[in-house]
Amino acid sequence: MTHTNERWGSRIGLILAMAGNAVGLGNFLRFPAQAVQNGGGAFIIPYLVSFLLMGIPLLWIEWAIGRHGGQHGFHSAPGMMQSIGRSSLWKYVGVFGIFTNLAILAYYVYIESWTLSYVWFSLTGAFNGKTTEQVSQFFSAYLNIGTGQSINLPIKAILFFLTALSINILVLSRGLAKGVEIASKIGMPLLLIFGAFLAVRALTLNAGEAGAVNDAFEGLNFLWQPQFDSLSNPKIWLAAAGQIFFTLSVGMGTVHCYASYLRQNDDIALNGAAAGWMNEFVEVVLGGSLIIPIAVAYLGLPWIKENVGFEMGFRTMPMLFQNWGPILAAVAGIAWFGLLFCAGVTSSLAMGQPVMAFFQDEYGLNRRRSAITLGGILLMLSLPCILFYEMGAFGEFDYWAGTFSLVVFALLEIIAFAWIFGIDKGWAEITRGADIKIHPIFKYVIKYVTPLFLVAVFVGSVFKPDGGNWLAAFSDLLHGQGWPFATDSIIGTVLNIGITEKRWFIDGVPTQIFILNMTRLLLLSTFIAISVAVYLAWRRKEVKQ
Amino acid sequence: MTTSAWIMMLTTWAVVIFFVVKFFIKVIRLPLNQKRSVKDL
Repeated sequence: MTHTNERWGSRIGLILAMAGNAVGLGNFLRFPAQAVQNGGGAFIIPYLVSFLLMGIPLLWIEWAIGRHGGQHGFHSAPGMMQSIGRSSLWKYVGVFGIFTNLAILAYYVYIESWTLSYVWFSLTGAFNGKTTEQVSQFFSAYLNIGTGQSINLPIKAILFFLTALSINILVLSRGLAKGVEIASKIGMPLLLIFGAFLAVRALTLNAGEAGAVNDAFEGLNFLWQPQFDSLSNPKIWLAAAGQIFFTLSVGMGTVHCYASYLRQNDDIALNGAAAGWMNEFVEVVLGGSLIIPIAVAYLGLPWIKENVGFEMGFRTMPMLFQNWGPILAAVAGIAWFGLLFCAGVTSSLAMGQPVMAFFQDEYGLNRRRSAITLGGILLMLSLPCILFYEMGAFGEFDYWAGTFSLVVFALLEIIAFAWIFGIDKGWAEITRGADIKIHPIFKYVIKYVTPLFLVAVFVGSVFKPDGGNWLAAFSDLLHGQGWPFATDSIIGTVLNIGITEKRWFIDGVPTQIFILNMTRLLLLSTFIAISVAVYLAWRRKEVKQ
Repeated sequence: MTTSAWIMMLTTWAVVIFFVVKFFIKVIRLPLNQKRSVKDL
């Protein structure tokens, strides 16, 4: 094992990098959609409860596991999990901390490249004079989807993807302080400036001005109007816990990795809290003030209720900016897609670092070779997401890496930390060198409450009923009608519920189910390959000793 | 906007901004590398 001498250059750099890790595309595209679909203003109550009882404790646990692992020379999850799990088998749980990052990066860098290209298109006036339909068609044409072909071959999108991938690899190859930290110090303030500019413009939109048909505050009212009766619905609590879980980038191995470059007595309590609350600021204050108010001002509430979702940021926003005149439209486009690019790149760098650290620690590769190896693997893994985007390969990567693996890893790591490593030792680890006093009640929260939250999120993902209606599902079950699994529940996904065509080929052409099964096989093979790499790395160390 | 939506939004924003500012002031006042760790002693 090579012991890296890398350290963070400054505390503010570390916090910005950690916050940049958490702040991602979901802060601006997922949070508003979740809030409007789950009780509006009332959503924020279970959301903040989940943040305090699950989000913050998980952050502290991951910072503690990371700093502890760093003291033993580990900067990626396999070694860290072994050092707290007290059995060599725990290193295979740590495989999740490599696998998740690789698999998410494979499609995340692709989305990041869309934001980069849309900055360029905004700058060159590509959306000038286009209607809503034309801007939406522009997006489909850019991704080469809707052509009726099994394979999407988007040449322009591939070129931008290669550019985004090269930027990531270049920054990672420069190391922690000179690469990741500098990128975060530039990216995070830029993101805040872009966000503030758009929020001010959005919140000053009045009906009848600049083509707006409603006041932007109607959108805010829609987002924040509390529906307190929804608080008794388990669906709302599961959605809120899920949003907190995914927004903080926990269960990935990225927080562990960044924290492993701290010294033994460096604070993690204040650092963890500062990074976590900064993510909440970007999500709740900025994220909630952009896409919904602007879209409601121009398209009205009924349209939003029908169309709110991830692709709205690309299919709709460029057209809405056109109402502000050519210069302001270009500036707004650059700010919106620049903001998304900054959010994306600071997260993708965080996901690349644990994989780099694994190559450096366990195989003795230098930074440059680690970065090139990572780039090569990502190129191979990204191809199915790009070429079979419309057939569902992209969504499959997102589901198994971006949803399933995160929850499984977080659940296992909290068991290892609170119950195997031991809560007393764990608490001592979290509070050592702390610059803030953490209330002792969190010791019990970490041992009992946070694991229960995670079990609820996991069970909720496995058995999610159709339409998210748990009460109706239990009623169906009691009346002998079986459990109505949602198509996006884990069981529903494994059983391919909702896909009627079960044949793999029709007239020699692969069907969607073939592509989905092959994608799952690829992901499983990747997980097994990383496990083998971990096994070989440890065997190599044993031979050396 | 209705009064309840205003209250909900402003209360949430106030809580979030309070903690962000509070923790960031502490972070800025206590640079990481100023503290001596056991490793440094």
